[in-house]
Amino acid sequence: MDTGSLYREEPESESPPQGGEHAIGIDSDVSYAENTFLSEVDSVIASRADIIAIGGGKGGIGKSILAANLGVHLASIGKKAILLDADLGGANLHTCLGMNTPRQSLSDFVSRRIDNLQEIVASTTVPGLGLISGAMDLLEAANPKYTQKIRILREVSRLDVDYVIIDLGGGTGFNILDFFLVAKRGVLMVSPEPTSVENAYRFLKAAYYRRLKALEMNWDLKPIVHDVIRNPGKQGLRTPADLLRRVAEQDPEGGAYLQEQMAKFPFDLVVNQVRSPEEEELGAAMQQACRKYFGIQMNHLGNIPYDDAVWQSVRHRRPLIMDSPDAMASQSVRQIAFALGMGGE
Amino acid sequence: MSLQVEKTLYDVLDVSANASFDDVERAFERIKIYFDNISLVTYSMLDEDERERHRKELAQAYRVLSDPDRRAAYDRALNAGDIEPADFEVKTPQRQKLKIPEAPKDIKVVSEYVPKAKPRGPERSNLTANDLPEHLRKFLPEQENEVASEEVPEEVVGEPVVKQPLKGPKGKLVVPESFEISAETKFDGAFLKDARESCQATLEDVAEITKIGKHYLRAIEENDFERLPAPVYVRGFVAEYARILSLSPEDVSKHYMELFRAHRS
Repeated sequence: MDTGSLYREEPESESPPQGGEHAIGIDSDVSYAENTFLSEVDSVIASRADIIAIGGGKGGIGKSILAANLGVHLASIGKKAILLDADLGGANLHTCLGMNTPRQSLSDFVSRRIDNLQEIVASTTVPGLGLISGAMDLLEAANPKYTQKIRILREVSRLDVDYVIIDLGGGTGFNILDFFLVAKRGVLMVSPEPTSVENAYRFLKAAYYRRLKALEMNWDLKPIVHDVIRNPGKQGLRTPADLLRRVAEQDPEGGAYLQEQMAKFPFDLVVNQVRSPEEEELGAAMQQACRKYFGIQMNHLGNIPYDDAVWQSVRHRRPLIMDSPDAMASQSVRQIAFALGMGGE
Repeated sequence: MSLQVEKTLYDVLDVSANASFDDVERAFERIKIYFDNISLVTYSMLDEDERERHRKELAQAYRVLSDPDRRAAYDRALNAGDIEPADFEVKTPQRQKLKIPEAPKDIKVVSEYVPKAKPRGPERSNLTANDLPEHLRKFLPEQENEVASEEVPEEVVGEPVVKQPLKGPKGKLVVPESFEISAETKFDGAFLKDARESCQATLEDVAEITKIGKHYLRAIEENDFERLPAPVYVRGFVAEYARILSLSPEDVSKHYMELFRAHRS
């Protein structure tokens, strides 16, 4: 097994910066090494497959259903795809696909019973579509260590397929954010209700700051960013836009670099369970508000209407776009796939 | 670009510096909703102080950019390069009001101009029926009641009274027969307003049918020629307005344009 620089153990003495970080959405209970994680991943991993991650900060809003159906769509247009169920602890992507719990899962890889991720790819009923199950019985495996995470991500990048679709669990923990951030496209899913929108914003902020922290490592902006992050209230910093602006004031070159890099990582937004014309407007409104008030670029990819065909398909344990290909929701899923560049030829 | 610093009032409304007044109107209506208390869009994104700040900025941007005079003054200041959007204040230059030919004194004309700022309520020296709850009005002397009934009700901006406009075929409004037009009738803004009101239509209704911006319609009705665009557009607007009122577009616009030109020259 390769034990290159990626496998460096995290130093344990380093303590995280304390202070008012929560005020602008940064968790402080993380080691310094965790922060360097992304910059390493960035420079090392050049994935063969296009990685699409689907998150949203809240459970039960249809992430797994979208992931499964995007996978089925890809297979239907002749692409090879693997679904990675990274909802560690609450994995149920196999159910969306009408499968029983796969015999092997990510926990076998984490516990090193199996070294090659390819070996735990289960075939699904759809030719060309594979599944890496996150179904776990090991509690600790639901929270993999730094090194394990890098191992997973590295192996994911080696999978010989066209697309890897990662279905993330709820919450905004680092393990979730890191899977989200290594993806080429990060899709944020939201349903038109206050709890979901609130969690989506929290997720967005957390992912944004996580990304920012990784970037500052490359540029040695740490003192400035940390100083700014530590005393957000004092400096009137409420949004990511405020933070970047402040960095740019103190270090114009570094600020410009950060802005440029952050702009490379737009978030995608899908609004699910849309029932009314007002709710149809929500995505565009969130996109505009995020840009104006957060300084975060977010693309509204599309809406999925509230549709009985969806819960019927779940009950039938068949992917929606196979169960009811002509349903409104199925059409929306295909439109979202097109918006993600997964069109047919 | 991922980071947008709001530098100008145009940025606040997310419109370009050459946005039309219609664009400004639409942008304001759209963004305003984001800050409603029941809106999902910003309530969990920004704290209440921030929301309040944005609300104020938005209102300020709209106040300036929706008014041609304020906007022109703002543009001048902006080009001079020495203003901050937050503390920007424009004094509205006094605009010349056109003198409308007066109606005979003995008739209390409904269209007589009532300043909006007219004090109402308890401070007024002479109580009128409008100041009292309905069950108390009978205690007022008869005469006062009559005067009160002739008062023009204060225009309610925004929410129109729930009245269905009298719509006819082809999206036109139907002017009731009781609405009289004589040879002496002046086809000015007040006339168009009267005609519209006789159809129980609001400005919004007319704007929706004609696709002419509300602010232009209002300016037309108020004979506020300073706020109107080039004559060729005004003629088109007025003709269209007349058309949906089933009036002769040629006659009305011809007459209106005479007033318009008389003012401009």
